[in-house]
Amino acid sequence: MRKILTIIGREYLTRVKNKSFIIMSILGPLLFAGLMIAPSLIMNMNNTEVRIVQVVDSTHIFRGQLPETDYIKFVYMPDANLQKYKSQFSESGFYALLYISHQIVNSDNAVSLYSDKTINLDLRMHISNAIEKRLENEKLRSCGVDPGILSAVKTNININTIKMTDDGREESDNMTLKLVLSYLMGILIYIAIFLSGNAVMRGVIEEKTNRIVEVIVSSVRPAQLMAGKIIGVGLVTLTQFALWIVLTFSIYSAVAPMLMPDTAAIGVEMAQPLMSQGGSQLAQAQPTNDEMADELKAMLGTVGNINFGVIILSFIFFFLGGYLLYGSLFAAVGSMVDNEADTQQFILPLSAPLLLSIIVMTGTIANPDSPMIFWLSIIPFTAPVSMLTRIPYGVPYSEIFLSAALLIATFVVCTWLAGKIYRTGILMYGKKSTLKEIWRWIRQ
Amino acid sequence: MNILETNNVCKQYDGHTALDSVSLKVPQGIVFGLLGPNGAGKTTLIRIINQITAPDSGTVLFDGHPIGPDNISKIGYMPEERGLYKKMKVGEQAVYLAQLKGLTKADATRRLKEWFDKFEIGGWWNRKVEELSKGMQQKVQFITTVLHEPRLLIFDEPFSGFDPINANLLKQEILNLKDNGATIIFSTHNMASVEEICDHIALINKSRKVLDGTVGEIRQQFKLNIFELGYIGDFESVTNIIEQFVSIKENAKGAVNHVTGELKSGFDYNQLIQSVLSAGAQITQFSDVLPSMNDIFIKAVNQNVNTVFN
Repeated sequence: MRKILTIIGREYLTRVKNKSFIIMSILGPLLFAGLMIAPSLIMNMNNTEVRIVQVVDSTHIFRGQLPETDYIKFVYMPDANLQKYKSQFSESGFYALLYISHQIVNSDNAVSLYSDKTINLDLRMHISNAIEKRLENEKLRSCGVDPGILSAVKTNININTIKMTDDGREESDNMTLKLVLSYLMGILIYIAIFLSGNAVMRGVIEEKTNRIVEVIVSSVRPAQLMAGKIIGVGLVTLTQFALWIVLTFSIYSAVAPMLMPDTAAIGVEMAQPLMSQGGSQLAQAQPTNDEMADELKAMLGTVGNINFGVIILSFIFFFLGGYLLYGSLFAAVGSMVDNEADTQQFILPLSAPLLLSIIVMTGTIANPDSPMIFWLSIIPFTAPVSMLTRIPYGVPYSEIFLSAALLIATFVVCTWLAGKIYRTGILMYGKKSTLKEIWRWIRQ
Repeated sequence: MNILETNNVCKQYDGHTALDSVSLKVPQGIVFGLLGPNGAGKTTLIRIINQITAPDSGTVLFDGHPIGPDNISKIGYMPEERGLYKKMKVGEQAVYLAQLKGLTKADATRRLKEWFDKFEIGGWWNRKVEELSKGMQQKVQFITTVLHEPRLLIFDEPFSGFDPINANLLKQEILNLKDNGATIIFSTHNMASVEEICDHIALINKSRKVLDGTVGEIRQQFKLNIFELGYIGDFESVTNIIEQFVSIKENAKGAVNHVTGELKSGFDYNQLIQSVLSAGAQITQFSDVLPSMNDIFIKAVNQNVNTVFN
């Protein structure tokens, strides 16, 4: 036992002290924090600039009718001489030139937006929404519909998805958050298993090509060496994840308030009214914001209903189970070859189940309860990824336990087989092993 | 007292026999040469002694008891295929390997410092193995093999990869270890080194033991009755007499005449010497020429001697 600890210690320390580990530990969180901060930062920067749009309206029905915001203003030109305004545009200081032609009633392409800069998506959406709404009203009015009726038919539908649980409670249910969680966990566990499995394999090949393995197996049993390596690398991966999570949130919480004081505050302000009474103030702003606000509200409502305890425990369990299963198989592959180039033929069939479960992940989102995904989340080779993508949508405990039990059983059998291949393979130098030989090693 | 015994050890791999009923007795405190051509089964036998692989049948005794995990710390092994972690620091690595042999970290560090001082390589402690030359790496490898002061040392082709200076140093260290009471099993093709340092040898060929005994015994067994004779006397008449007993290989005339020849069967050296003396010659030198280990090796392997000497 003391020897296994010594081996684990070496595997762990040499990897953790390695430059690439340290660089990854710093770059990873910077990247993640950057990804978290950047979108709101960019939105913020755009919003603080007041953009004045020059409106050349040959129909004259939009004058003074386009809604303005704090950052988007309109200036209406007295005449419709497009050529004149276009030629003067660069000196005028306007952000953009909006031209509405006579054809607007008949043609979809009657509105043009000119600018010497790239037009933002939000500005375009804002204008297009405003014109559509105004035009609809105009058309209805021209058909003789009373303005009072117009305001009375104005509707806004927001669908609350509510999940009825087995014990009769109703929980608000939001697909977006679950989808994000599902994707994130699936990809994360796939990367974790694959990368650490590869690290184990490279470690085994290193010991073989360095020719140190025979020295070591004269001191410890091959099974001890293999177990020590797999556990050591697994701990490194867990350390890396822990560092990423802690550092990402440290960086985020340290930097976010400095870079975008408003957003942080807005986030809190938005959340409170949204939770209580439906975000009416924001809903007035404009239609797109309206939908976003509803989505956000639903997401925030769902957060409380997601069982993070189950998710975190499952993540740790299925990572460990999947990693031990694949790690031992990767170790066996490493023992069968003399250099990394020879591993390809074994790695492909070995990683096929993992790849399959990543491909099927998209299907999970469309229908988390389909039979295909159910079976993939039970079969041990695909379970680590597939089960985790299902878990945010809620999986009965019985299925989780069945999947977990099968995973443990398979990992025990596979480690045993891998150990047999490993102990013979590591002492075979200079020749590639055939499948027939490997079968003999297993039977020995 | 035998430190190690193997009794009828057999091992098969994928349908071919690597070891066929090999029995050896290694007495304590000697240098035991394990010889044999490539593929004879030496490395398999060594791996069995090191408990890296298990024999299909037969037993291995250490100090008279079946060998087990407890004996690992009493054996030091330098395999033919050897190496170190390239990216690891020399000192750290040596301590690690010693810990796997059961030494505590503190003990390992203290003993290593002594060895590093002895070899004057103290400055290497914090260098990575990949920065060292091949010869330097071999020195580190040797230290890690003997650091835990094993009672039985096994060197598989120890001189391969060593330059002559380091090979000599290694030879010296092996003899030192023997003087300090260790037993050494020594597998090699290098017959010159066998004659120099081995007390006892066993020859394995085609998975069977074909020769076993002390170096002196074996050379006697393989002696070809070739002798060298120096005498002062009449060259012609003595040559005539000698020719009755031997086939002459070399015959040189001089102040002292020299003859090298092989005794014909049915005669012995005493008869030869008496005849030479009766011819009035004065013998200045007579010696039996024993075959070199190299000759014995080639002869034994070629003849594929099936007799098992015990």
